[in-house]
Amino acid sequence: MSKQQSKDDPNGATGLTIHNRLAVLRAERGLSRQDLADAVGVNYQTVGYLERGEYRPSLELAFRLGDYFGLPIEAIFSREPFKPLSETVYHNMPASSERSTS
Amino acid sequence: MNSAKTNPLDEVSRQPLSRLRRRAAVLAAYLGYLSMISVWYVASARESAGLFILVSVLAVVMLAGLVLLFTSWVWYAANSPDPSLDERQQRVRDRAYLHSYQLFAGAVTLAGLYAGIAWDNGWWLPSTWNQVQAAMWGLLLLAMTLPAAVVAWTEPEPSDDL
Repeated sequence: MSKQQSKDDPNGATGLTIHNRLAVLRAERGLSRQDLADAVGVNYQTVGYLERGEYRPSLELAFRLGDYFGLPIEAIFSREPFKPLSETVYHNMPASSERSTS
Repeated sequence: MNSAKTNPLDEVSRQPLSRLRRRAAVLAAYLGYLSMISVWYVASARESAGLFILVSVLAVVMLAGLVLLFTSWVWYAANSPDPSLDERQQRVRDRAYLHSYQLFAGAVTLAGLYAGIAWDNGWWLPSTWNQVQAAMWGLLLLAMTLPAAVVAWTEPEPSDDL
């Protein structure tokens, strides 16, 4: 999961570290950066900057990403590091299905 | 909402220049101009054909740097209007203009300070029309190209992954 750190450069922001799941979400859907960029109206390189945590999006772009993935913003961006999705899914599984998969 | 499909930067940004080449272009443009007018000044005083040939070579170096800047995505990134850029690109452009203003204002202030001190102490100052023109063209070059040069110098290595 990538994070966005404060930097005094055009791609940075101040103070807060923001983590995101964009790369995972894009990979799950089999999208290229260009596909995602076209869908939310940015340059494909901007998607790369977002995924690497080198650019913090505006609220408007964050909402567009949320709309596109059908997820709330907090499922894509977080102030805390995200746990790996596999770990989250495993811990949320009912005990019976956990046994059947083991 | 800006559409990436209509973004003219998309086509040129697929052939991005490495940071090394961008910085080489900036150095070629500015150092090429400075060394060209310096050698030209000496060549004019000595009427040396060899030095005039060197002036021509330096002019070619400067022009090569400028052409590389003008024809790459750097120029579009620094000079495109809002509808052609997405929000990150707009931020890059705006930051480039801020830094350019600071650099340009600093250069003009230093030049003014030097002129005042040089006037009092009898140091070299542009005294012929050609020398004044060289200084004016230098300022014009800076004013026109600084934002693109700042983008070229500061943007990180491009990602090839589409």
